[in-house]
Amino acid sequence: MALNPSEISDLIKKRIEKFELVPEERTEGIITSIKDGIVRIYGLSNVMYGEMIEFVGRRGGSRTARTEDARIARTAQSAPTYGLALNLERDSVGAVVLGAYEHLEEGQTVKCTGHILEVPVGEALLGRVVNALGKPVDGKGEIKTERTSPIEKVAPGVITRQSVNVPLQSGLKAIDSMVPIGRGQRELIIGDRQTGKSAIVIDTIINQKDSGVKCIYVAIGQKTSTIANLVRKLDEHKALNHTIIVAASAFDDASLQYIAPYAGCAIGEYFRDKGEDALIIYDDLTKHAWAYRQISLLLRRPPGREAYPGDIFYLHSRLLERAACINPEYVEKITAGKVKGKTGSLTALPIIETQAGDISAFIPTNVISITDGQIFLETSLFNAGIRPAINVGISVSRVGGAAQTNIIKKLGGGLRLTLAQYRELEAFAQFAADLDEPTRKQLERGQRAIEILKQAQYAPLSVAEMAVSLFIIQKEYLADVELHKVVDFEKALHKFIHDKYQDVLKEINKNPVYSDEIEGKLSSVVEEFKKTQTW
Amino acid sequence: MAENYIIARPYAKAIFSIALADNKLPQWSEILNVFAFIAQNIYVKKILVDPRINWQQCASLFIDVCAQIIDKKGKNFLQILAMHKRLSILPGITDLYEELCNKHENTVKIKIISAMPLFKEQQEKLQQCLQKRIGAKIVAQYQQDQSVLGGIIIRIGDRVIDGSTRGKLQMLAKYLAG
Repeated sequence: MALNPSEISDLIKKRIEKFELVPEERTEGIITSIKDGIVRIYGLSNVMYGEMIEFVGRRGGSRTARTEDARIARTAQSAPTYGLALNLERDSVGAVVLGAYEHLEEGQTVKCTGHILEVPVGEALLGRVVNALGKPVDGKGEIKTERTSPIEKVAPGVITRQSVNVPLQSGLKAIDSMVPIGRGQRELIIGDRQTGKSAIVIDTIINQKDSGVKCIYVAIGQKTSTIANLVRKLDEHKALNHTIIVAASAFDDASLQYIAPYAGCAIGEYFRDKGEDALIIYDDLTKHAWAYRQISLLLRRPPGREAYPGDIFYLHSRLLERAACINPEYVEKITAGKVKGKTGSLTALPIIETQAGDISAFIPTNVISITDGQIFLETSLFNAGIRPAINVGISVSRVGGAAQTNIIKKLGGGLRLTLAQYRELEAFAQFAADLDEPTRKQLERGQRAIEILKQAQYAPLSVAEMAVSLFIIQKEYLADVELHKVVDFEKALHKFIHDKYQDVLKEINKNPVYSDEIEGKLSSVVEEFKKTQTW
Repeated sequence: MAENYIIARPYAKAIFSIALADNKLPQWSEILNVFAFIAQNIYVKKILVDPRINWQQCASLFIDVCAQIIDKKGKNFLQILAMHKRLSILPGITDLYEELCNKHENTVKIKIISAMPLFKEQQEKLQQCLQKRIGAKIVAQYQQDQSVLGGIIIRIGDRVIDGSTRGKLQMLAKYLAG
């Protein structure tokens, strides 16, 4: 049996000396029934809604702890089990148990704790995988954080906010040029299964490597293997060091899946309130709604549309409202003057999975109306090889335009129109055999634009690279390039510029403003490249 | 249990207002306690759920047993309960009735648990302190429990003030475990 470093008698002595004793005053109740993780408690007359309650049990610990090795399991067994008071009735309290509940029994004592559930927050969490309670699950040892934060908090008010004006580069051409995302924005990613929803957000996380944006990825109801794959991929692309993964897998109880997004949000808010920028991804809120529906039905709350409870809208609105851009005065106030003149932001990218493209179902319509825009992904586009499979026609960003980088805005401005005209002509061209010159040109231009917007996974582009790609569409440098060669052309061009004109890229990345000077430089570079004929 | 209280509350309220009007609060309390005692009897419990026995028979069982102590109102009460098949919630009605009486008389029942029996002076001082803190008359019930080790635990309804050595040790264990 190994001795822990914290078990040295001197240390124990010091800790005992520091320990302050006050007679504990608490409210108690007893369990009257327990089934499916829902506990009914008699007593607890002054419990608050959402308060954490403690089950004074003989055993405890999570289900995972019981299956892992005996040493860890033993320490976990002495740990108390906690629950969340959700139904406050006249004579009883309905609560949901966080984690395993099989060891609880009728007649057992329950205590109020007087505070709501908290999770550890801080820089120490970066690069780690934690569960919904903030406990590490990646086997890299204990996480030493100084602070904890309640999982449910009121969103910043109107006065404390600032309009979104800094871009959050996703590194994807289709998104940054047509549905730009700003820091502090909430942009929904919606689509059927297997349309590349998660791929978009993973690329976005990878692209934040040097931007200083901390990323929080909340996995709700996913397979544990999927989460493990994601962690490995992020690690491979050196994106794990600025990322925190909050995992509530399909194996975890519905209660943990329900609180995971709020826990992730609390972790993200820590960075926001410090005057930093953070990005939080909820993958996905459909499963979150399912978990909440399960809890609500077991608590016997009346079911409504699609059997969801009446407060399902509030479930998501209160979560997404916490993603915001806050002004320097608020940051200064919160940090007690330690951080001055810095805005903080928390950008949210919720994901919703639709069934057979039905975006008029209950949860999709709710979340669409809450967010500041949405990115639609379509199976048909995905299968046609257009990846990312974004349907540009119905994807919008309601606030991101103000935050778009100048050069991308100038170069990508006409793209939406080009694609819209192309789609209209495409249907028409299928009937007409002979097309006049301008129509044919427009069609070709559209086809090439679509080709350029294709992008491989795990390969986000910098602003300058993106500008080059958009530049060649806008200036029609692709007119004499064969359609199936467009992707190769772009690739070769990027390589050419990286090899020979690194300074141009650096200049654009440093000051992404489109000027005549930049235009001249880019044209000369592209013309020189076209002369080489190496694609 | 909690569901029982929801059903029992209107009955308890009705009985309480009758008792108050007749000025018979303690008498009714006694009667209800007897009822509750009968209803908790294991054989009676079986009879109450037996489909072969109709409600008149159930009511007469109670009425016959308590014939000495109940008047007409008591009989009627039992019959109403039996008619609605609610005789089994009598313990709940009794609890709620007691609660209403305590509220009416502004008294609070508390339970004081200690490892050793307390001295008379200690008891008096404790009651004075608690009376001040709660702001109501106190009916204290003392109880000994060796496992408390030292100090006392005070229970006021579902509120618990834990000043016991056992509680302190548990807190210390929790603190050291982090």
